[in-house]
Amino acid sequence: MSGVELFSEQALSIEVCDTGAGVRVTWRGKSDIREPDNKLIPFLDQLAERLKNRKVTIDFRRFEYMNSATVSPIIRFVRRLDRNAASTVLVYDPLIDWQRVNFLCMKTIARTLAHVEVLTS
Amino acid sequence: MDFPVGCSDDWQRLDEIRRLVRDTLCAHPAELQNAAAMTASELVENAMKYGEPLPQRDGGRLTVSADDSTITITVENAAAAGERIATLERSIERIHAAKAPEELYLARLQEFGEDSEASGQLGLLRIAFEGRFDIRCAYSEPVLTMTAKRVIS
Repeated sequence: MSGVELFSEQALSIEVCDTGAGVRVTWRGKSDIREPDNKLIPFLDQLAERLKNRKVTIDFRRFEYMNSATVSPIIRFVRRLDRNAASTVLVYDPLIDWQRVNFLCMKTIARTLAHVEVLTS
Repeated sequence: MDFPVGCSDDWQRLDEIRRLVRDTLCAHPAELQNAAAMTASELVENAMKYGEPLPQRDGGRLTVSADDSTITITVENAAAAGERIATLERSIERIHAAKAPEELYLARLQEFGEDSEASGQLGLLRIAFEGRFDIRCAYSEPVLTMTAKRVIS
């Protein structure tokens, strides 16, 4: 893969930017997705397959809000990247309350994964 | 505030509902406004997904109030008696029985990781853990009332 790819659904957008050296996946906006199985999970599953053995940064700092239905697809995506040996860094903003709380949990989960690291901005 | 239930047509109103909740609580710190907005949004989502209109109304009802010590968020909708109500009551009992809601929340997240098909049942835990609201439910057929309270420290 190369270049820029964009997923969008309602007020959520996910930009995938391949710089050659690595891939940056930037989440923006708000996710009130009701049925993630319809579009979001298939997109993330396919993306995780394409990112095998790549260096990946997932940037959530401009992700303003997510409903609880969005949590499971994110964890599934991260675990699939780990399984595919993609060296993955998750970046969040600790000044955003919901990000701080949820990504502290994600740090605990990441300790069980070989290729995933969770960092603040 | 009334909102539609039982259909997805007005799902985009959730962002507006969160904004209205924040506006209602504008005298309070941003963290509290955001926690209340998330809590109301999760409860309204559940009502939209699973609920039915209240008797003599077109939808469910959301109420947000605050006094000197407590913020209270109430969502009412109609629901048929049955397994969903029983499951809801058990989930809330489990949250109250837990020493710390974050343990239940983290355990649920880990289930998502271990079982790729697992999803859902996170909203109430999120309200208790991330939002730090005490969540209760009351059912008087056909009206289901979800109440979330947070003491203002």
